[in-house]
Amino acid sequence: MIEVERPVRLDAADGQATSRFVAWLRDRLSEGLAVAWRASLDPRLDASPLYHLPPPLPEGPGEQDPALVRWRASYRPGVCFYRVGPGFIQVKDLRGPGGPSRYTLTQDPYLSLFTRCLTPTLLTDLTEDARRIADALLAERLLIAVGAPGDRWVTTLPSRMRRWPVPSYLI
Amino acid sequence: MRLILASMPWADLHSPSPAMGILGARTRAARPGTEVTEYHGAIRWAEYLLAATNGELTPEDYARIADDAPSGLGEWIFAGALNGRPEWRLKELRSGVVRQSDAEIDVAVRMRRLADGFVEQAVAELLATAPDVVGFTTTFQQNTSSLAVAGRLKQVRPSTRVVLGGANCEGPMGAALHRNHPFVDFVVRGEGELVFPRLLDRIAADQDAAGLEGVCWWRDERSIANPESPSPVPVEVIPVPDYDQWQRVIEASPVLSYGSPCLLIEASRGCWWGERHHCTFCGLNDAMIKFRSKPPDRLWAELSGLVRRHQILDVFFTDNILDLAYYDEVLPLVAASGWDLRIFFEVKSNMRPGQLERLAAAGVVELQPGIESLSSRVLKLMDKGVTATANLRLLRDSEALSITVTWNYLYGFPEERAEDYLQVIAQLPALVHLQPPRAVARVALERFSPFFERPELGFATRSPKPFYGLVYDLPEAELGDLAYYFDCEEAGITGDPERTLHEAVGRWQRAHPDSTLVVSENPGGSLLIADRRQGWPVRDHVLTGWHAAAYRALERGRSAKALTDRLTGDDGYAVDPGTVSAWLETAHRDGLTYDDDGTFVALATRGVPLRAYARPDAVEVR
Ligand code: SF4
Repeated sequence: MIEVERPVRLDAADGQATSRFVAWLRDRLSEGLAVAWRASLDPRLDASPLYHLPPPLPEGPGEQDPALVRWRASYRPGVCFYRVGPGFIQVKDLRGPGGPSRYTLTQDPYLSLFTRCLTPTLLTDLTEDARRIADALLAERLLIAVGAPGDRWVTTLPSRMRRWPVPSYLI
Repeated sequence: MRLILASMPWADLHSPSPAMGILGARTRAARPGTEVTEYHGAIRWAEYLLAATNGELTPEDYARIADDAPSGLGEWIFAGALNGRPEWRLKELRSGVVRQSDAEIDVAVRMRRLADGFVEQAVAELLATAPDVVGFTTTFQQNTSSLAVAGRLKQVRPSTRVVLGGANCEGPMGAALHRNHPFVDFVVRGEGELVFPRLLDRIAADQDAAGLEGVCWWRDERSIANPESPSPVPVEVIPVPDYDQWQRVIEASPVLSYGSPCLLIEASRGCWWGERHHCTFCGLNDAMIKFRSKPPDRLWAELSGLVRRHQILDVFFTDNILDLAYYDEVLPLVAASGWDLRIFFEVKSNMRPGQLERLAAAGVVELQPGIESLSSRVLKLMDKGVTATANLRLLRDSEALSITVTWNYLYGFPEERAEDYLQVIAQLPALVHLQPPRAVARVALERFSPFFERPELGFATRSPKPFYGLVYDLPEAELGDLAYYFDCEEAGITGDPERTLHEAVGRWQRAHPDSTLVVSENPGGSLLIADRRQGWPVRDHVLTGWHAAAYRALERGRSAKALTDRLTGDDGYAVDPGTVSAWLETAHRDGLTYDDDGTFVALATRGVPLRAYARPDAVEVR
């Protein structure tokens, strides 16, 4: 169990800080670690693509932010993750209402963009081609883009499945 | 020659049939002229159910029936089609013969009404390519669907040769299946790698099967059962299974989205433990028990080759038991691959230090360690070759490694005593942070087990499970040869201890999702044990000095005397036996240890895995 001392501001305007925290949270999940953290959520930020990551603790018994309430209700481990195989990456995403989606990324530029954006990346640093791919992955909510126009950061959302939740057959 | 290999309901939907994969590859190698195709009847049936009910009967309903072979419900569903009488034993299902709920029986009855239509469809699909031979593989509940289709197929096109093989055909079962079903031309009993291609040679030459080991065949109206081969197939002749056709079928099927495709790999056959000490309840055929395993480099080549080819990372090993040589020679290779595999394996629970870590590092995510009991005395009665201490160590250490342990609590062994259970039941509240058994069940009498073969062990009176009578229109004596599951008089505990055991395990299952008992090393050499188990006060135990050393020493499991010896010997503490015993008593009262007939084993885990369910009420069973 890791505890984050101060509340984390998930700010729609501060793309870099928000993306960094998202990537950090994603990687702790991958290590199988529980994280206790509190959030102050910018209402302009659509947090729903993050519901597969450990939700923040409630501020108190009366806390009502509907986005956080939904996040807590939706979360369980193993909802959106990827696995590395020989020459491919497999993604399984159960967040959507239409049942599980599976993707096997076998080729560049998908594979390399997915891997590159594990580290938050400025959208403007991507080539035009890469940006088209990023748009496709954003549409599938495999990436998230946060930040003010001109300062938008993209981050890969699925966590790598290194430690399976128990019992693993529920995943 | 055109050969179709068929795997009918209730085969698993998301994994290939190793029997088809191996025999297909074997046949192509041994008889290059043979055109081998596969018929995935199980997947076709699941699709049929979806389509015929507008998506109401799903692969999940299918799986519930497929996963419960001892109920026989899957066999019953095709019994009307097999017997040519849709109403055959339809009403009797509700007479209490099976233990399923009314809702489950309703599902079975609904499926049964669709079975005839599916059989017709399957026959048409099989005959579309005018095969010379159709080979059905049958394990668990694949008998009646295979027989129903075979029977109908022979009516439509009598020249097609029908062969039946698989685990359900071993020994007397195969002979009974043959002599009672004249439309089955041949039954292959035992392993098919060598004999099946030779049988095809005979069929191609229009010769009978005289002299082919294990094969049942017809001489005029008489069923002849050739003796089975006394020598098991060497692993060298077992080819890498060919799963290409299966993958094409499952990937094009709506069934796919209901589960995760999983490769099946066979590293070994037989059981190295059972060869010497056949566990008394285990229905592994003596003819097959001789342990044979693939050499490590070959296994790694097969595993990595199949993963690359199919891009599937879930791997289920069909082995009865892991070859100990693999710990050193295969697992490190798998770990070094860096692939995120999810591997399932059956093992023996008495591991040496470090072995569980090796399994986890290689991607073994789920283990079936044959725990069966938490009483060393009862484990001994089973000839299981492990102690309760070993079982608890495994349950405890799996937590920090995020390994799922699947196990059942078995009882009902002749010569077990109520005390054996009362001792365990009293301690179950201390185990709620460990993975509970999936089920508590009276041991079943299975063909080929020592309990079956040797009535003097305590199960002298037996009869085929009643569901066989609801499936086959055959006399009792024939059912006795055909059956795998038997009813027998109850042995061991009944009444109160039995009920209490069920209740106590139920409490364990309910308390588990939010119970933890975690030990961590503090700077300065002390231990912190945080108790957050349901039913126990929230408490942090801090152990210092020899208490900390003692608790660490109990991770292996030790008697009071062995613990004192260890503390005063290697550890160099001046502490007398009375003090150690008194401390042990307190630790035990606080639920920090398990007492296995005087061997105390530490219960706190060195970590906690993420739990797959969000909330306790979200727990569900696969
Ligand atoms: S129960 Fe397992 S260990 Fe025992 S004989 Fe059977 S396969 Fe071997």
